[in-house]
Amino acid sequence: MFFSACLTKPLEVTIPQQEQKTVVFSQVIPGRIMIVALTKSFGALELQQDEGDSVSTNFLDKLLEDNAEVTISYDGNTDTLFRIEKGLYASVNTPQNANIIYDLKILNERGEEVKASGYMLPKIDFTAVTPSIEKGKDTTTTIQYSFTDIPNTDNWYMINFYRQGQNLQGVDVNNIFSNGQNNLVRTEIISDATFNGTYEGESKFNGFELGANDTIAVAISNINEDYFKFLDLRQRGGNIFSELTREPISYPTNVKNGYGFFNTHYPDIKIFDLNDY
Amino acid sequence: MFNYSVTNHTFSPYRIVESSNHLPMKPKQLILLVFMTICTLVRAQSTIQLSGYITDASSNENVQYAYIKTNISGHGGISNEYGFYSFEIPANKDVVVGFSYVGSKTKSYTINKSKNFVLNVSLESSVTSSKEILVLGTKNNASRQEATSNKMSVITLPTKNLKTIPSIGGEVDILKVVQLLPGVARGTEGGTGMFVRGGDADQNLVLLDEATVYNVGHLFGFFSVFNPDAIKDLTLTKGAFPANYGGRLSSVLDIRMNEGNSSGIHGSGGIGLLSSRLTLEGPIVKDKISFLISGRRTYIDKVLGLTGTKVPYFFYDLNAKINYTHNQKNRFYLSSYIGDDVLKVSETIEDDSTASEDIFGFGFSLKNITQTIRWNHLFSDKVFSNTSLIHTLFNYDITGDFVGNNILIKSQIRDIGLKSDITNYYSSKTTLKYGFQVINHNFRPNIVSTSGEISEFLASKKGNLQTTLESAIYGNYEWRIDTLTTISLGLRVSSSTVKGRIYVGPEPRFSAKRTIGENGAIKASYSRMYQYMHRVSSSSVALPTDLWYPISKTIKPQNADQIALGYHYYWPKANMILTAEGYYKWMRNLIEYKEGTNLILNDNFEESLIQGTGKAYGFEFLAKKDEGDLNGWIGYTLSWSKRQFNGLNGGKEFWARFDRRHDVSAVVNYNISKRHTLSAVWVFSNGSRFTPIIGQYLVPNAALTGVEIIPLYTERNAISLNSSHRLDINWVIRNKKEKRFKYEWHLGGYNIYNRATPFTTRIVPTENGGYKYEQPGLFGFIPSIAFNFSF
Repeated sequence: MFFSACLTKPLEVTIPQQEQKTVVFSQVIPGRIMIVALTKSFGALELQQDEGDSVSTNFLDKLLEDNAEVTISYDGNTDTLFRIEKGLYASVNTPQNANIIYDLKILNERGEEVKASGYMLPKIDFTAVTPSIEKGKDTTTTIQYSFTDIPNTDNWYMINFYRQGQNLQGVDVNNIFSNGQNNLVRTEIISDATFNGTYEGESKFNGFELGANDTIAVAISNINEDYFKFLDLRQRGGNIFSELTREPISYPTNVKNGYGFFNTHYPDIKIFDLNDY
Repeated sequence: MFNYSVTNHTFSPYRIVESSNHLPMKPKQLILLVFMTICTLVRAQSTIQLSGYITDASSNENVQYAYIKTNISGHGGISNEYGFYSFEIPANKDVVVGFSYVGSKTKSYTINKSKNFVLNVSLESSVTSSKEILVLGTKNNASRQEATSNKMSVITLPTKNLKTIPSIGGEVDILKVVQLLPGVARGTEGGTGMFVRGGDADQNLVLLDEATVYNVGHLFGFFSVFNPDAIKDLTLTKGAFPANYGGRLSSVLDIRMNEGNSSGIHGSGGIGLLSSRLTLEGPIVKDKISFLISGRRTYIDKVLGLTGTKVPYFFYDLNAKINYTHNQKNRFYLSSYIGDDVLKVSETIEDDSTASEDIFGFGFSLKNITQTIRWNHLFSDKVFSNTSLIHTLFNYDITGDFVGNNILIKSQIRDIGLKSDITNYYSSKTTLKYGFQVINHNFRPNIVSTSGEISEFLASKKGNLQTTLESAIYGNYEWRIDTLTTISLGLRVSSSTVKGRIYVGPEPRFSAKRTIGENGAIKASYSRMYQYMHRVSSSSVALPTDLWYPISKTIKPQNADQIALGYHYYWPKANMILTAEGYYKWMRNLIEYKEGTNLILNDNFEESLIQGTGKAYGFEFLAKKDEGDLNGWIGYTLSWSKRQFNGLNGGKEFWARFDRRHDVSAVVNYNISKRHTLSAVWVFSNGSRFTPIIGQYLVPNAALTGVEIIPLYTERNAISLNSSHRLDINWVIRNKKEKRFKYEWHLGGYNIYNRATPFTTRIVPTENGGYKYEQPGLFGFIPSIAFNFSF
């Protein structure tokens, strides 16, 4: 019956597009630098993921927010960030102190003002990270880790697992948007509402995710609640079933008159060569 | 007791007068006579009870909601859902009583009795004698009775009147017919989903012989599970709910199976493009015990299997019923339905690297079972009772095998219920109906059994068994205040016992009718409904994962208040009913999912659910002509439906997904001759709503090793899909009626002018290298041919 059905001509429609806004993303490299990356949002018809997961250099170049004035204010001081390259701004002078509010202000080349505030949270360290590996037809790597919750506050933690990184001590600021050689294998997020005191976690990876000869890195960061929600939604919304049901997801942002996140967290990183295990 | 069987022409009223004997008397007897005369005089001022069953003359099956009208103002009634009626008439006086029902000839009797009197009436079909029907367009006809009755927001459709309506595949689908009624918004094209008066898809209680049917669709919802040959009629209640109905917010679709022809062996069936069906019915003991058995199965897998082509899917239904009339006071029914969707894919894949063969298998089974044991008992001519013991099972299994890895996912819901109603026809002015209902729900979702390496990543689990006890007591008092005004007051007190909490829901009901002139009535109603379970699924697609879950300690029951006001008018010249109704519905504790919820294998939905409110309002118009060579209906709905959830759309109010502003359905049957009928359906509706991506942005991933594309959406359900309209036709060609073996050819076409009914929006490349939005349709023009027969 279905095979005998004629095909109908799809109806063309016009849907008004979202106006372009500045997108903020930032990263603190402990003790070194504070980086702010600025791009522009774009219309739904301008880039199709059907073409693949990669974003072309030309397209990315069009999106980079250049010629913006970017400042960060804290404790009555204001630092103006310098332009590293198109779309990338950095400050080496801004002190990185926990429990301080950093106010980001951007005046983009279209004259629009974009603002965001970030509270620098105390650093969290692993108390232990122990990989183990079962070699065979199907290699399974198990990483056990633990950390102690920061007391007296509500906390949210992000744990990243990387593979074959060559840049594990930090981030190549000149290559932040290109697909670097660090391969993020998995991100786990944990709210301290789910445990008391010390968290002991265990993550298993199959042979496709981590190989017996890989060098791996495990990083933990103390992140704010909004970013936790963002990552949570991203993890839940990025699966095939949510695509099937096409339920919309409104991602949170802490940026006023823009999108993205002004983050001020920084990681504790542990590196392992699986050949040693 | 008087069982009266009528076979004569229906124009003439039947006269039933009790004779009396006159005997010589002695003095003592004279005194006694004087005393008795006094008593008789007192009694003569009183009334007698007229009661009985109304049946279909051709099948001897009970006829529900037939109208009974008398020439005495204020005396009359309507048969209940089991075909029983009872009301008072004056004793010792000629009373003309008329019985009418849609699609049947009106039948009249003159009754003069001094004692309570039982009159069983069989009504003859008028379908094949359309010319006579026009002559019979009297004040007693069913259409006029329906217009001036106190029923509102209710539509009853006998299946036999629907069988010429065009459909996909040539076999009428009764749920698709329900979607053509005003107040019912369709879901996705071709699907069985329905959204009644701004409600959600899981707010409709679908009953098959009083048993809840949890999954009403085959083939992912494109075909309903109801075999039209096994169904007698259906009644859709959208508002003004009687107190005996409860458990869902928006509608009750009460579907009754045929009971089995008790007068002789009959059969019917059909061969369609998709499926074939066969029904046999007849007496086991004439006029005492009858049976019906009806089966339907898709067979494309078998047909193409002969050519070597594998079609790994089929579905089947089996309906069976036994009807036992023990005596006038006791009748028993046993009915059962079983249906299954089966998909089984099995492939052998050669592995070149190991020179071995791996077996890949995937399958699912979706099974519905309902069983009902029913006992109708007459305590007296005035007191009717129905007691039902009900069992329902919905089960799905999903299996997968690959290279030594096996997985079985199983979910199940099982209900065992008992309900009992008693109707007391106190007087010509008052009727009291009361009863109770108890249902034990057993939910066992997401039982997982794995073996092989997959078990390391997906562990076996028994599922989270949840048991709830849902119960209700109710009473409904109908009071005919005067010849023009009737009110109905009802109260249902429902409750649900869940782990750690008992919920109690008082559900007041009220309806009133005031007759205006001879042919019109203004009607009003208010009802509150509670719903103690909800379906976990996408609202757009019927998936095997559609599971029902109970409320819990934290998830509160949904409830709704609805008011409705309407005017119903019988237009004698056209023999047509015109109804206009407006409604407003407030809904609370509605359930949605948090953004990004994964519905698969999630048996802890409590954390994923959020609750909010909704409101819906609108206006419905229906012009319906049940009889005549040209019959059918035109329905129009103007409606609005909104939702508000603190966790969605920034807390702002948003449109419901199937908020369709305008909806028009026209169903026309034209009997060209006794052998030819042409039917057409034309529908128009505004598109359902959706939330499109209207922008995007890039962010580095959490590890700064790449970028991710983040979509930007409009406000929730801010955009409508394009409006759609469609024409379907069906031409029925019959053989000569005189023959014992009757057959019909159905030649039809779905979506005659091949216009897309959009079901989604997608982005496609343009010729100049850019992209554009377009909305595709699911089904274009589909021709169909079907062969139906009966004997």
